[in-house]
Amino acid sequence: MISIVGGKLLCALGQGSQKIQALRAGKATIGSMAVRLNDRQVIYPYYSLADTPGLADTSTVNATLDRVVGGLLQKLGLEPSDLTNIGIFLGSSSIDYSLARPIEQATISAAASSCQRARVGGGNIADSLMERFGFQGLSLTYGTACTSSANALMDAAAMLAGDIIDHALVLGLELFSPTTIEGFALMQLLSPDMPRPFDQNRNGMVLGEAVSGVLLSRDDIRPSPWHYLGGKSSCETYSVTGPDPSGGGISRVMADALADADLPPGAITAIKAHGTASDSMDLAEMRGMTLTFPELPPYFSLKPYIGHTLGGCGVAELVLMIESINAGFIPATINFTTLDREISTAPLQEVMPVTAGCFMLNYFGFGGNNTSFIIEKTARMTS
Amino acid sequence: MIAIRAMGIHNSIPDHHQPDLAAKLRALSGKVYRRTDHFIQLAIIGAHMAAAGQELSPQTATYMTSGQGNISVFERICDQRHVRNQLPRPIDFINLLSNSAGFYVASHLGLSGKNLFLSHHRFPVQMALLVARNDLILGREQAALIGGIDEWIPRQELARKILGRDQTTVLGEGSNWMLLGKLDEEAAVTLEVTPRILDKQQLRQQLASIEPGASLAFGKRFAAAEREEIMNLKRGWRRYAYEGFCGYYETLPLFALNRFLLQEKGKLLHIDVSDGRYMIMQVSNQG
Repeated sequence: MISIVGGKLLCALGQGSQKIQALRAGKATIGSMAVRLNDRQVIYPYYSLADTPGLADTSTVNATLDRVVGGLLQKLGLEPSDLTNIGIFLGSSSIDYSLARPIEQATISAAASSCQRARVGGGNIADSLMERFGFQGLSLTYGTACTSSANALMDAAAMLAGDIIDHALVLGLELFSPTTIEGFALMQLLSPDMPRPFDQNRNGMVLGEAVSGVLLSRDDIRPSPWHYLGGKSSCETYSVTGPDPSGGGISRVMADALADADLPPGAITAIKAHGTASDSMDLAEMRGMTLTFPELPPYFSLKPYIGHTLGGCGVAELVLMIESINAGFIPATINFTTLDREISTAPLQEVMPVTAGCFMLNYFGFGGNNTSFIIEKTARMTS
Repeated sequence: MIAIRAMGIHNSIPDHHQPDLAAKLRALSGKVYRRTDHFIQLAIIGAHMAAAGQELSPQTATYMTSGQGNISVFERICDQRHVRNQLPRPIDFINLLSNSAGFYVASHLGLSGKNLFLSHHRFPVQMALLVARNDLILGREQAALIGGIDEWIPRQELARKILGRDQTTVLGEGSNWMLLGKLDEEAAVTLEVTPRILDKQQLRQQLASIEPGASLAFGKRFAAAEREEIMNLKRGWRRYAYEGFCGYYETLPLFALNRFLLQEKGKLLHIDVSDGRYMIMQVSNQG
């Protein structure tokens, strides 16, 4: 079986026990970010990493990734050399940060002379992380919008199942990008105040930063009470910006994930919804869940706590959920007040005590990307 | 080992301007794709050529890879933000943020399966093939469409710098695709990717088992002297020289493999290099 050995998350909720206390208390701190739109400055709510606000350049990205990877190794009591035959799987919705700054500079100066002759671009960030930690193995970088690091995790599990690798470090990376926040603002997809997933009065998403990592392996190498059971990724060509509002595509990917994990719908303890608080996406997800589950399990969204961390949310929300369940609960979906008339069931409104079970995690994104996977926490460690 | 069912090549060496691909796309597919950019059009053209005449299952998985992605859109967004003081067009933002090329390929071919956009600093094609190969061997996918897409941009000095190439390198663009399936008895064309990055000693160990009569192709990053050194390791190897038919781009290994398979019979070993690291792929065409 594919074991989920441990994870590390840097997000707006803060560090270690701070995160758990905030989740248990249903408290989140939303900061703000100024965006220039047509000669005027607009302030949007934004979930920043407390100590790295502002424009992310390559050195900031590398330093933040090092904190996550170094912190995860330390937490697990491992050295980089312990992670033999490793694959690094990095998911981000941003253009590779190594490429962004040289092109920006060359555009501003109207000359390429400001740019050094060195290969930058796709995969550079993951490759340089391999170098810095002395990892021996493979790396892959995923760019599938908001499903990037979720897809990275599913492929990591497949590469472990295929014995191509023995360890997989799956990373989700999303740091502030002015292009991204401007783009979402232009599309009028951002909330002016807070994310209210599945609420009648939801008015858009709030973006956030998160850098996270999770270590996967196989039970015969590194046993864990947490396992990856199966999942499915698909492409829905209804629209480049979102799923079919009927929920048909979302329902299919969830049903396929259940089949891949060899589980009936009734085996799911709870669903971590994508729950962006955008009008059409939440509606499609709710309809998709209703189509898939004759009896809808408790469902929740973590985005009111850390924001929509785009391509990084696959791993960020997985780690946050695991940390929360390890502490004995699933958090309530905060900011929810009014049930949407098209939605029959509200997301979790109270902290749900839980210590074990099967959990579905959903991620959907631009480009028709739908991803759903299932993990399990057993009461006892298997080996 | 996996089976190659079909190939598609689009490859060119532009001069001064990005070629207008809209007309070619219309002629090939009979469709007009609005809201697409040069990179997306490249992707659809190559995928269309590989899929032509094939009965594709809607569940066929798509694995796209690129050295630097739709770089001209990012250039345009930078120009709008920093030089013209304008906001980016929403469609540019959408196409930059997501793997929109994959969406349009899926839409064009009627696919709803897994659809990935993958990259790697050194060996994008080999790594994408490794993922597809693993999915096919595990039975997670029954068919896989894999494409390498790189676009040529007019700012050649900048392009060479960010590719780490010297200023004499002639750059090209391409969209090269393969339709892959699980190995069966009927497979006349096969592919194998060594599932790890090798050092020089490991490369030599792998090469020791390659029989005389095989053809060897080398990635364009190889220095001539090292290429010759490898060719001299065994008598009877034949060098497959494809380099004169293309400019440099990072997904070129797919062009080399496809060109060989469409024109030659026998076995081709493709060796690529990056900073003293190597990856090997082998194709065989017995059909």
